[in-house]
Amino acid sequence: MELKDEAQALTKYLIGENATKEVVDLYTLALGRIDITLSRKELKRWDKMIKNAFLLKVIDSGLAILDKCNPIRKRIFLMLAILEAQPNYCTHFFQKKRKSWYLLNFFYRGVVSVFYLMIGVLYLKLFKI
Amino acid sequence: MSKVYNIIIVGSGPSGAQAAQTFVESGIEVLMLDVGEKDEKYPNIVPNVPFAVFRQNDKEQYRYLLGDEFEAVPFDDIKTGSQLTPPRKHIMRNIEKLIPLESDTFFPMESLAYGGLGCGWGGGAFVYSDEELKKAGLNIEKIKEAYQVVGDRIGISGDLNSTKKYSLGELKNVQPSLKMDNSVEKIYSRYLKNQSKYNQKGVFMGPPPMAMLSQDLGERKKTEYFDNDFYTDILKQTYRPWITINNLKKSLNFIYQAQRLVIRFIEKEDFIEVETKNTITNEIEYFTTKKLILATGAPGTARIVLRSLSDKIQRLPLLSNPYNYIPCIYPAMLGKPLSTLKTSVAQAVIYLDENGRNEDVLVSSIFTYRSLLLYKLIKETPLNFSDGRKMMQYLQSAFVIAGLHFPDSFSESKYYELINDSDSFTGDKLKAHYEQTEEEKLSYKRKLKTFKKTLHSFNIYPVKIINPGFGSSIHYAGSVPFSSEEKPGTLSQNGRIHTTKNVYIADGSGFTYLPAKGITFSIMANAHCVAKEVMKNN
Ligand SMILES: Cc1cc2nc3c(=O)[nH]c(=O)nc-3n(C[C@H](O)[C@H](O)[C@H](O)COP(=O)(O)OP(=O)(O)OC[C@H]3O[C@@H](n4cnc5c(N)ncnc54)[C@H](O)[C@@H]3O)c2cc1C
Repeated sequence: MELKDEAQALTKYLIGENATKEVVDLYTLALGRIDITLSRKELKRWDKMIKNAFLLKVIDSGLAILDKCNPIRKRIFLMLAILEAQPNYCTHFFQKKRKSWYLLNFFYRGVVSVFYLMIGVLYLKLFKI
Repeated sequence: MSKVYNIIIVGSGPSGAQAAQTFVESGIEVLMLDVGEKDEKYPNIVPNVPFAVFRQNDKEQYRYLLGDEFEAVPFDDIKTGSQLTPPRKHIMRNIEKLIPLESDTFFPMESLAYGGLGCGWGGGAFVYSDEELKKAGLNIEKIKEAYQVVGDRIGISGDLNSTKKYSLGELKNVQPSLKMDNSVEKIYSRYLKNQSKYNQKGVFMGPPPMAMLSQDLGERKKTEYFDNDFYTDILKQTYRPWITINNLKKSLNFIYQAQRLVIRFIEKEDFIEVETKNTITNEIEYFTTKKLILATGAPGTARIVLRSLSDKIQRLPLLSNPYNYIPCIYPAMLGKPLSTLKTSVAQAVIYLDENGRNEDVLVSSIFTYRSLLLYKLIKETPLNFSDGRKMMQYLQSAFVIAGLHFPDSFSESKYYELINDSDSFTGDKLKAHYEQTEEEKLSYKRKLKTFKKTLHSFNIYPVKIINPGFGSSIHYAGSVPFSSEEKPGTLSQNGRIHTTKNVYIADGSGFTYLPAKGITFSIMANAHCVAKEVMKNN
């Protein structure tokens, strides 16, 4: 799997946009500077996650509960940091004025997120990574 | 013999800078020895425009937000120092190599920077009450005078009304307090409406006393509320010790010597030899002085004293405020953006004075969250990063963080020792142990509970209590405490180390009690007093 594809998949997953060349370059640079090595097993899993957005979310959710500091989480976290420090993407991290009914949306998201957590935990337990 | 200096000061932090200014202004020659780490990379790349503006324009922002080496991306759990941004990371540079510390229970932040920990301090500048000064072993009248001298030098803004007795006491020439942002302003107006009820319960709230300017002062400019305080000192709005040292360097009677790690002092009949190790060449070099002033911060001073007086003492006590971060949700701010213009530092302070005596007061600085970036908060949620981002984006402006300090007193189970370590730069290592007594643990639990209730009364709801470990308050004192007896490992009232003739300590090592209020203003006032005492004895 090329780092370019990885950067694309992560950007889409995290903020729903395509990665610019700057983001791909920065992600590549960062991985050259920080040691986030994946084991063979993790690498196999990672390849699948990058190709499958649903799996990416499921495994990220499971790891958030079972193994927060797993190298897979670290890679996603690194991309999250890079995206927040990009002028074209930083607004995805800015607070927005919201109407009070947005609370409903917030709770809906919370419920869906917990659902992903449950599948994620189950998945990781079943496939033992 | 090499040149004999009148005064050598070790350390360029708040205490060293203030002591030096007092000597130099009196015409006395001073040599300052320091390690002097500086930020050479980032100081000129942070634009001086509001945070929200540069975020949407500056392509280079990842450099000062994350670091050229991505050194500020916190992959692991929160610990002391996690909060430092790339332009502040030099504060801790070379610590592990040059001044290693071993501990399972105590995790301090130390600094070898030009300006010491003061390069990153939040500027909270509190005056201790008379009761606190007495418990800390400080001379009430002298320190009060010194607060004024230092306050006039560094510029203090704050509240001279309702919380004055907890924050600035009788200090004069105080600049108007800094503006609160819209979130804390809301909380504060609730307090003002119900003030008498709160006060009856021992709860007081007000703007923070700050060494941050709301009006220009000489070369320093007032804050523009750009919310970039953790990244740049371009306006010099917050007092930094290096501002003093840069100015002192213009005087003929002040010499600054960096890259000198002081190892020990050796007192001879009428002079003192100061042994240093050059941090670049590793060479040992000696400096000679009539009087030596240690201003290396309490843990650093403990190292030098334990080495120098190893035949007399093997263990020194320590004080450090227990500290908790309490991220809270303030529902009144849900869906409402934070003020664009704000400072990044404390917006207000809540004091909990249960016994009404202005001692053992619990002190909590209240922060809102923006410029330290959202991704760090997202990591703390038990969610996948994608949903975590969406949810935290919504919650961000409703986040209020209480930084809660507890007072600290001595006990047998809090101490420093020096152990051999042939691999280290100095051949040794400082070992620290910090354990609360049963009584302290109980009192801590009870106070935490009362404080949580206080937050509830403001309609602020704690999400989590984060305990980054003892030492994380970055307030250290008490390692060579004041004592009226001439005992080794203690200080006389004028700051001289007992059993020495001419070695003094200007940092917080002498304090015999550590109030929960920020210690640094008192450290600086004490340093000024020590310098005056030294001149008196000269
Ligand atoms: C992020 C942050 C926020 C803070 N916020 C606040 C606040 O709001 N309010 C508050 O009151 N306090 C705050 N503090 C704490 C405050 O910075 C310290 O209390 C203060 O800097 C201590 O001053 P000092 O002079 O005693 O020692 P330091 O600042 O530690 O300075 C020590 C100096 O000694 C030098 N040195 C050390 N060992 C040696 C050696 N062996 N040889 C040569 N030189 C040596 C170092 O280079 C340094 O210059 C904060 C600190 C940080 C980091």
